[in-house]
Amino acid sequence: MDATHEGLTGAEARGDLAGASPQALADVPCQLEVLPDGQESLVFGDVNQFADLNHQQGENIYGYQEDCGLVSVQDVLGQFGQSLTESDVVEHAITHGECVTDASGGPANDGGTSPQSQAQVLNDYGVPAHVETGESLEDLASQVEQGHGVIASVNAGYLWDDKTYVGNGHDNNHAVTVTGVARDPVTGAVQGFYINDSGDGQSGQFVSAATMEKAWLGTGGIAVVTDASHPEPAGPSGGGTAPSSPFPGPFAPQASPSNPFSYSYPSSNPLTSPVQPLAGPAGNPWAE
Amino acid sequence: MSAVEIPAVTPVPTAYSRLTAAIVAHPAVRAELPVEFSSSFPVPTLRLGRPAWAAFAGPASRRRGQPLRLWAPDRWWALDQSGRTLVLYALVSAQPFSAELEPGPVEISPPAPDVASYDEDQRALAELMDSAAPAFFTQSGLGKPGRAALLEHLSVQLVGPALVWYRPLAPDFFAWLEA
Repeated sequence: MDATHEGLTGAEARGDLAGASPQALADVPCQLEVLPDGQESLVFGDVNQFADLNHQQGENIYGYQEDCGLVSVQDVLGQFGQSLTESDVVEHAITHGECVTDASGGPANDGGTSPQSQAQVLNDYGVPAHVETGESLEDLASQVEQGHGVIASVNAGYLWDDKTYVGNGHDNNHAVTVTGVARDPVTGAVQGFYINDSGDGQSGQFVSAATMEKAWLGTGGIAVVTDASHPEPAGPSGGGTAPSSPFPGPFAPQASPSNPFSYSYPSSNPLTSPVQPLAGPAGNPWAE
Repeated sequence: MSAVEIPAVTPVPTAYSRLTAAIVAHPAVRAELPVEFSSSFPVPTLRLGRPAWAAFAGPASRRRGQPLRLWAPDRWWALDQSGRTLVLYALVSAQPFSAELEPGPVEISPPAPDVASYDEDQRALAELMDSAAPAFFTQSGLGKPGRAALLEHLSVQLVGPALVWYRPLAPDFFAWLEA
């Protein structure tokens, strides 16, 4: 994740992908990448920037270790410009009765949250969010590509390829933030996602679509999604709420009539040839 | 993290696998259950005065490369036989399912060598449950070998020492299995 270009927004690239209608999307960075398996990919999302927001869970003064949901909330709040420590968020959740505080086994087992509680904590901090149930990986991808903060409830066993943590197989027993989407540059098919995982402290990890299918969709497709898109750091038109998605589904928000964005789209498709440079005033958008 | 390629598995869901999904996905459960907790496999029981499926959940510790550690359940719930209607949802502190519960922790380290093998073990459990549950609910049918096979598979391949919480959750079912 090191080839960010500034000449092409996610909305612009998505507009030409696989014939998708070029509706205005929230602006997220888009870059050409090579996936771990060698495939080329168009990656949508602030993966690099948001990677800095993640850390190993359990860094709080209360000794709470099982707080992946709250650390994910801290991550999303950081995406929206709020710099908080894990202790800040845990303290808030304790004060407002939004996390487990009396688990058997002692404080190390405290800090757990339901998706509803995660959304509530985000709401408390002024980042309205809600819980949604996705029915496909496209539903999840759509939210990330529109610049929403996303916390996915996943099965740690399937995510980590560790049979120890699969449990009953339908258990979503871990929370991670989803910061990027990898799409096939030619077909637009979802190849995978980038996540921040407080369970191991690793950030910007690529997870294949097959793994996410089992770990997230197969365990209910639950996600906490912010109502608004990320603030626009350097976009052409500033921040705002997300307009409609070209990918219909339960995740797709309604178009905002007050959306101030307007985008221009490449007149030719730069993506039918994965490494074809995009001509334009900004030069080659794939170049660093 | 490197790409983890897990083959997409699309087996025909058995009644038990659908039930397992339903008992974890019930909206009331989802609204309350911390994601960090561990949910049990559902087991059939008649203890609530009707055929039902019961499950419990409690604190869990997951550290990569280490066994799963579970502590005593703090909640339990049950759906009716169809898997659609919530019969009960209770915190153990308010409505215990047993007078005494082993506090834990217990360590769970399934013998399956990998995720694919573990999934096979889950599928085998589902097939055994599909045979056993109707017989249990009607108190008829399944012979001792079938009951013993289910008990051994559940305890050895999947839940291990956590059986100390499954038995008091559905004492009638386990008594039937061991009869």
